[in-house]
Amino acid sequence: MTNPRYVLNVLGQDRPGIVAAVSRAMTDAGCNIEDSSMTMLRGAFMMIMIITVPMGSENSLRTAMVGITATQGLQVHIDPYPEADEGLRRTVEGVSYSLTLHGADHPGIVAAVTEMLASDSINVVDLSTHVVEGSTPMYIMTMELVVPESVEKAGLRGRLDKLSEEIHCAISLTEIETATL
Amino acid sequence: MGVREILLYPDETLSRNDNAELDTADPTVDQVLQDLADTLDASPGVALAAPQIGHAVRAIIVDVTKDRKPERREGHGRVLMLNPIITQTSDAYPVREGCLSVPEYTGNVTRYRQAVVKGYVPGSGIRALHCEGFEALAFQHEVDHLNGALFLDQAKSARRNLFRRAQ
Repeated sequence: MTNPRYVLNVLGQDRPGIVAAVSRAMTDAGCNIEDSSMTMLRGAFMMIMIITVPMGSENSLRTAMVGITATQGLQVHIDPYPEADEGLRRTVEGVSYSLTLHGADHPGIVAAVTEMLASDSINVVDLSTHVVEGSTPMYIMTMELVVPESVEKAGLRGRLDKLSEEIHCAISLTEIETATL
Repeated sequence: MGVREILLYPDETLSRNDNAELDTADPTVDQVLQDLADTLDASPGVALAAPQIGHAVRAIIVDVTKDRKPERREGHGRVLMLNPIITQTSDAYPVREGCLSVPEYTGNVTRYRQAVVKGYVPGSGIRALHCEGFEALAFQHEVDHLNGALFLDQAKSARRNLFRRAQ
């Protein structure tokens, strides 16, 4: 049997040494870091890690994380990783596009855009948003999409143009050129 | 027939940056070129570099006429080239590349839409080919192989620049 995977969420005030402290604690608990992502959102430290834990060592991981929480002043949350059910697994296939949006910030932009994309069965595989502070806060969103071959591209662009007017944001869609050599 | 196995990352041959210049009069060159041509014909790709098939020498083959997209087939047809170098480039752009030697991933790289590639073309001598678009991309990718560079080397972020192919 393979070692079980867990998802570790870590957040707190940023300062040097957080990744080192967390990864050392996990290594000492016998865990292996697989995929991870760390970023700063509004100056705060945010990290998600997928880790494998030796069978029967879950408690030593949790003990290590309690130590990290106490000594580093971080919030740590551990959940079992949702392993894909092969029977239900949906393969993401289609053409990759990048979507960029900018406009005056107001509630509902992400919901409006992603609802429209979901209605075409378009998969969002990467998303980041940012508010640029100023006298009129500006909203910037970038997404990577996988668009099914069955979606007619001119029609999609037309729907995005219409949405762009409704939410008063500029939206551009660019195919990501892919080549295998 | 000289269909050879295409080496897969992390085979160390793919990372060598000391692949040998070829003496065009060397009789063993013909075998390398034949292996490149035969292996390319048997593969789904449009280009190969000698290190990918285990020859640590500076030779490549590019044939964009093999591509499944008609708009990518324009260029110089099938080109075997010894000791190629890129002498000029212009108009950088981002593109997501895959590689026969790294089959499970694609990655974002920066390439040039125009490139001049200079090298020895058997039967024609030293040539400087002005390439554009997909053909220019293919030559840049293969010359990188001769220098031990893979698209993985350009990935600045594993999450934003590297992508596992759909299974």
